[in-house]
Amino acid sequence: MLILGCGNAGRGDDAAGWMVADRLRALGFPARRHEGDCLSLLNAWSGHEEVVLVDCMVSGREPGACVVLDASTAPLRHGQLRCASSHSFGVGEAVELARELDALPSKLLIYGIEGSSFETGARVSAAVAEGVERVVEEIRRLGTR
Amino acid sequence: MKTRTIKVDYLARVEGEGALAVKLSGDKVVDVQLKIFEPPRLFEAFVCGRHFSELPDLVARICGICPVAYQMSAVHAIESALGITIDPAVRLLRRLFYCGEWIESHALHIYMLHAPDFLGYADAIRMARDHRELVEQGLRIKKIGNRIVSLIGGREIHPVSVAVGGFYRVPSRQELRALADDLEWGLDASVKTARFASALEFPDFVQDYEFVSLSHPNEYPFNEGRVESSKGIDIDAGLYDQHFNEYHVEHSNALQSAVRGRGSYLVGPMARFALNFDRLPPVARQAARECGLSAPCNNPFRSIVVRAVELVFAFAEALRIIKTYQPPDQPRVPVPDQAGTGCAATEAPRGLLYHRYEIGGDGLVKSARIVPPTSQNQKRIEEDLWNLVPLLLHRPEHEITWKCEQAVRNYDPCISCATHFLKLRLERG
Repeated sequence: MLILGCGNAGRGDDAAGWMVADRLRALGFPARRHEGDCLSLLNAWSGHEEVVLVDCMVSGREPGACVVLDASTAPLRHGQLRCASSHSFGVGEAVELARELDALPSKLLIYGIEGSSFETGARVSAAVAEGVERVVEEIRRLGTR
Repeated sequence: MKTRTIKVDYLARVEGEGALAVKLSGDKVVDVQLKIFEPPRLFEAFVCGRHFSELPDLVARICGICPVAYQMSAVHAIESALGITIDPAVRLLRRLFYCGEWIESHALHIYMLHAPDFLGYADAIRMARDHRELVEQGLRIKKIGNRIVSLIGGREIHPVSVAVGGFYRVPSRQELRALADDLEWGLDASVKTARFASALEFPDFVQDYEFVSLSHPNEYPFNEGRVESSKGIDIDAGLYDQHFNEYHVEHSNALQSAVRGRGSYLVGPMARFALNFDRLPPVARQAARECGLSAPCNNPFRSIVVRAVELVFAFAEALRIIKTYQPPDQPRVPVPDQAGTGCAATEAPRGLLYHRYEIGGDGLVKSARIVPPTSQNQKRIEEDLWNLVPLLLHRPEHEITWKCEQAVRNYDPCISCATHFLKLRLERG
């Protein structure tokens, strides 16, 4: 299993994915921060059968709320995980491009943690920090099953 | 009079946040505005008071696609301000660094952002269904660019190894030699890219451009050279402000630029190609000739072919460098605090990037000026649309809209490296 956290440590709640990756790595899991553009996710998960990806999301849910999508079973709905990155390709686009190119891992779970504050230089909100802990626990259980 | 409005609420494949409004009265275009409403990011203000050694890391954050360009213009400007001469091996390494960024950026634009326009797809994902090998090739080329930037810069985006006076760490000969197989493959793939691009269909749309780029007597330009134009400018970068004027227009949060006393100009691959064709390596000149491309190329829709020829150049240059590279004795020369003012222009993937800094005796930045390529191209993009829209009026509105978007994408605009949507409003009065 490979765990990839997407995010930005300088933009408040957007650090959530990286925090999950850091916490899981400290617990001995094969987890790392994904740096770089989302297109390079295709390189990052290349050769891995089972991948868990964690990112912050904005879906209208309560801050800190967590959802999990199984991207390996069905295409993401149009607009689901729409790109919020600076440069055209976000997680959703990378996943669907990989699907077209048969470059998806056999199992790809995407955990989203709802964010609400993305101020430059801000810390993650308390609600998102709690969401991070919940996702860490869930992935930890997944990995030790 | 009948009024029609066409709206595109979400245009992907452009970097940055802006809108486009085209106003028509009958069949006459009466106004074109490339509206950049993304808030100003104030980099020039907040680098003031910081030590010059921090600048490479700070300005890299301006762009996730071309951070190397911002780092290169900054270190060269500061080295010029402080009278620093870098080791020739560092100079070579910086050229290789730039090769990596051009490869990443050009491959992204050619394959993922621009090719869908020509092949009739809304995006690269849908294009991949029918042109899988094409997309795979583009991604593999881009990955090699990422690898070069990562090897020299420490990571793929916002590299951390760039220092005033050199690098914090330089790679070994062996590390660079390990790139050889990838680069050989990339050279071959980029020649194929040029052939693919040249076989696309291009509208007959030739413009009278003033091309502006760096020009060096012996090499295709990256970090060094005079600022030249196809209409007679030939200056040291230190005289940039005397010849180019930045000004504010109400509809854009990015300053526009013009040649003083003349008007719009074009920076980027087409300008470099027009002014430096004979300094391309033979393999790139040959690729251009095979594609029926000669300098200057005045059809902006064919910029995709010019970009592909620059890919050929970047791979050939990278191969040349890794064959001759010997690490410098010291990764960087010491740079003591001292006062000075300096400027530099380098060639970002999208064109000339000008920086100017004033440094105090304590090494702190007193003033800064950064003129990115897309802001220089804004006025020229608007003028292309002024001239293009009248040729399209007989077509259905969705086609007009598509062509206008494509005309903007000809410039690979990086509106300001934030979110990425552009709304087109076509008003008919």
